Amino acid sequence: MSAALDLPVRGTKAVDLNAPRRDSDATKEGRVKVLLYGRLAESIGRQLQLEAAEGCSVAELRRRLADAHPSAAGHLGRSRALIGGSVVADERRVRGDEEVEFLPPVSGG
Amino acid sequence: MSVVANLEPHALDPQLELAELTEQARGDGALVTFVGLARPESRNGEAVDALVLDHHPTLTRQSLEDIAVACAERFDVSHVRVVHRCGTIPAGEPIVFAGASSIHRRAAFDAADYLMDRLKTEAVFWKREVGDGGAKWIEPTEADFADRDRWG
Repeated sequence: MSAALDLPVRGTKAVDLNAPRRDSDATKEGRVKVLLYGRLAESIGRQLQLEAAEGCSVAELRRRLADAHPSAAGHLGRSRALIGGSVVADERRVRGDEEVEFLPPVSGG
Repeated sequence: MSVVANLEPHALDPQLELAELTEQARGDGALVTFVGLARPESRNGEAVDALVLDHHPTLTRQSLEDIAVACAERFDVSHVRVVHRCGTIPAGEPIVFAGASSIHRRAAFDAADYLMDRLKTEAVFWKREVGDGGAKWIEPTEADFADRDRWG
């Protein structure tokens, strides 16, 4: 029973979403680590690596995830984005060595 | 004055928490505690085998601490203790312990009430009920938010 109750975490995986680049000044591409919780972890996975241009925005990561996982788009749209434990705006640019977390609205205890 | 806010991934023993809070509360005249249990039935009457609480590695404990500290600052209490389970909690088992001690009873009653109203809506958990019918994500109800909003 307990194993079946564990949140289905799909582990680290690489996702090449091949979305068109919108950052005209982007010259480098790297992998951005994304961590997900709650419903998002269930439907997408606990963590994944996104191929992204250096300096892409949080909004772009959010859009790419939604495009790749349409069933999670609504919850992604209502999720807070965090970098380094702090909430960041969608305009925030992401460096290659940063982790981006998406937190859906909490359930409470 | 002490504030304890613990996230417990394994087992929560309300008797042990009560004993520790009682030991701390020597000199006080009141101690009020609340123990929440994982309900065996959903709001819709479906059987629930367990609650599964997903949590954040740092923000969840921080949210417990923020609520406990705010409680200690708001009410005339001597000690505040919050212990919350995460992970899989079988129906019937304790999921949260919230308690406070004070010189006079009203502050301890209010503190425990406040702790639970905020924990139910603001603690950083993502909660699912799991039963024969599958798993269902749970969100705070309007009544939960109304209870929290009583405190301004």
